[in-house]
Formats: sequence, structure tokens, C-alpha cells
Amino acid sequence: MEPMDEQYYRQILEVSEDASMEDMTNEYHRLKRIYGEEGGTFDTLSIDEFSPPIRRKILEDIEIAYKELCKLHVEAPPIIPPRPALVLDASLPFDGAALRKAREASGLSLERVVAETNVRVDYLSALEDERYEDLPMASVYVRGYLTAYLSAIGQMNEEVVSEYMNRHRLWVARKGK
Amino acid sequence: MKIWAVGGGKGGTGKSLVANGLGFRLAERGFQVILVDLDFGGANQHTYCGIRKPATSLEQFFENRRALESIALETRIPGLRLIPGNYNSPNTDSLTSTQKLKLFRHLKTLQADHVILDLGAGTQYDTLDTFLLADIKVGVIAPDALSTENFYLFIKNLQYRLLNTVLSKVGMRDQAREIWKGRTLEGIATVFDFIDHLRTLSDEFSELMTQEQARLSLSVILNQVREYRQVEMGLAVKSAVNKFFHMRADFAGYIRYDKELWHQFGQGVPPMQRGASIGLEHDLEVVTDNILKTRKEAGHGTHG
Repeated sequence: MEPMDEQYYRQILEVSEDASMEDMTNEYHRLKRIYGEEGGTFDTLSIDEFSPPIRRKILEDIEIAYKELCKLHVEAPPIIPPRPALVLDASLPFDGAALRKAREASGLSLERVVAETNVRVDYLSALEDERYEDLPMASVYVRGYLTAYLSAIGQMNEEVVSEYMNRHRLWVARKGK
Repeated sequence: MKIWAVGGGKGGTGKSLVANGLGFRLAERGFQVILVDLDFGGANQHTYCGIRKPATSLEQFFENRRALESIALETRIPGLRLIPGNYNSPNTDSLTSTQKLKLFRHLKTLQADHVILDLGAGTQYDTLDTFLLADIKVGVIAPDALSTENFYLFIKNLQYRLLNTVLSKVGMRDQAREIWKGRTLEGIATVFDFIDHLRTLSDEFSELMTQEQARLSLSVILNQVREYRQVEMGLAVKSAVNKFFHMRADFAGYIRYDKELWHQFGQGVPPMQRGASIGLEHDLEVVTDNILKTRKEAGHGTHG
């Protein structure tokens, strides 16, 4: 691969123009999983386009793109903004989408919140998607994850917690019928 | 007006359900929407719309009895109409080229904001051509190896079909056939090596191919998701389409499997109707949003 501009490398990593270095790192690891360690899934397909040499070339390009992007971003501004960009307010219509919006406004990826809270990524994403069926049944756990999540994004607010837990309670009640 | 096509190779991945869901969600946003059931041999979009016996069908259009727009039936959702498929007539699994051209011409003149084409399974030329016609191309996959393999074959066939169309337009089909026969000598392994080689032979071909490839972008929807970890499969397929097939693809999102869905059909309730399935409702909302957002950012061309 010839030296190219940043946009080209971002294209290879499949990240947008405003993706942070952290997003790029996450994407890099994901692509490595797809084409490297777990790339065996492509071996079972008898399609010429998935031949090992082509896959090797793709992996090489991913490595180069990530290295070049790292070089370009050594002196980039800090990943986490000093203050939350959006303050959660329980008086607003409050749901999982609002959680996600607040997290994204803080510039934090879900993986980053996982690292902060030690809560499984599928639980955190279930909180954001309000997929209550994918969370533990006991609401004490849900409250615990929610509190950890809000603390990690600097938005801990008891009113917000109780508003969210009300929605969860309604769901449990409906499900019980 | 925008033409959407919902396809993706394998049968049973939920193409009709997704096409129907996109139709419902767009109509609810105030758009005029027409669903067209082009699943020849397997037409059932009317059932998804909660219509038991449609009074019209595409057959009437193909037999020159009625105009395409006039066979569109109202559904119970304001703004959403349905052009039912050939559900009652034999020998409808392929079109003559005259029928196909007529259909394409008339689809582009429909009075609507969005026309959504529900395509059948497989990689027949009719299906591929209709998919290529659309402004918004939607591929539906299920999280299993069979479905993704068929999807990759669908994409591959799409590339070949596009290449053939371009070759015909520039009068290079015979020349290309000869080159393909001796491809191992030229070091041609994939369709892309082949295209690169052909580009060196004709500027006209190269220019037209670039134009056509620029139009080729796709939104991937992962249907029938039962576990969160399956979602990564949608991202992997999106990436593979980009990297192996040089085709722009985005992941529009996933739709959870609803095990109660079969029940709705027996009662004649459209599964996409509000309140019928909370999960479907939410997931289709997200998917519709994502597709519209991606198209807006890309500033895609439209018909009409």
C-alpha cells in the first residue's frame, strides 16, 4: 500500500471522519478478529474472493492503516472531554436512548464504560436499548448496573435512576401478567 | 421519489417482513409509500399487510389490463399502499425482457415518496436487475453461516451482472469472454482482477464501470437475532462486502427474533402494526432511521 492520506486509512478501518483514536483502536481490534483470529469462517466458503492471499492483504492493509493513524494522532487532544456535554435531566422523557445520547455526548465508547464499570458489554447495551429481557431478572442488579454506568459517564443523578427504574418496573409488571 | 429494493439471496431470512416494516415505518412518518410484491412464485406481502384476498395483482398489469398505479390497494395504514404479487397465477417465476423493461419504466412513474420492492430469494437475473435498479439497496441476512454464504454469492452475482451490463453497453462482451477463457495466463483470479484488466483496454468501459460502481452501495440488516453476541455478525458481513467485494456497505442494524410472531398472522393482524410486537416496532424504527440517515449523508441520486 502506497502512503495515502488520513481519509484513506480511515476508510480501511471503516471509521468515520470524526471517530476518535479510541474508536479507531476498537475498530482495529474488531477487524483483526474478523479477518485474523476468527477469519476461519471465510475458509469454509468456496468463494474465490475470500482466498487466503486476499485475506492476508486485507490484514496487512489494516495493520498499516492503524499504524499510520496512530502516528497522526500522537499529539491529538485528550479523548475524554473535561465536562459532560449533555446533562441528564429526569424531567425530560427518559429512556435508554437518552442514556446513549448522554454517553455519546461525553465522547465515551461503550467499551470504555465497560472498562470503567467492569459490567458486561451486553448488559450495558441492554440498558441502552431497554432490552430488559437480556438483563438479570432481579431489579437490584439493574439498578446497580445503571448506577455504575451513570457514574462512569459523570451523570449520576438519583432522579434519573428512579425514572429509569420506573420504566423497568412497568415492564416487569406487564411481563408478569 | 426513491425506489428501495429488499433482497439478499437466501429464502427465509425475513425479506418480506423487513420490506413490510420499512413500509409501515415510512408511512407513519407521513410519507406516501407503495409496497410492491415482486417475490414471483412466493408472493405474500398482502398477508403482512393484513389483506386476506387482494382484489388486484401484478398479473393484471403484465396482461395489459390495468395500469400499475391503479392496482395499488389501500392498506389499513394511511399513506401505505400495496401492489400485490402474482399470487394466483402459474409460470410467474421469471419475466420476459419486455415485461421487465415495462415494469421498470412504470415503477419509476409511481406517485409516491418511497416505492419498496420486496424481492424473492435467489440470484436470478430478474432479481439482480431489479435490485440494481433501486436507489436504496437493502440486504437482509440471518445470523447463520448458510444465510451469509448465500448473501456473499448474491453480492458476487450482482457484480457479475453489473459487469455484463456495462460490457453490453460498450460492445465488449465477446472480447471479454475470450479474455475470461484465458484468465489464468493473465493472472486474473477474481472479478475485480478481471475488471482491472478490462479497464486497461477501454477508456469508455472504465468510465462507465466507475459510474456504475459508484451507484452500488448497500445497507445490511441482520434479522432474527436471538442473542446479543450475534450482532457482531452483521458488522462482519458489512465489512466483508466492503473489503472483499469493493462495494460500499453500511450496517443498518439488527431486528430481534419474535417468537410470538406466527400467532399474529393467524389472526390477520399485521405484525408491524403498532402494539403488535414491541421489539419489531423499535428495531424497525432504528433500522429505518439509520438507512435514511446514511442516504442523506451520502446524498444519493433518486428517480423522478
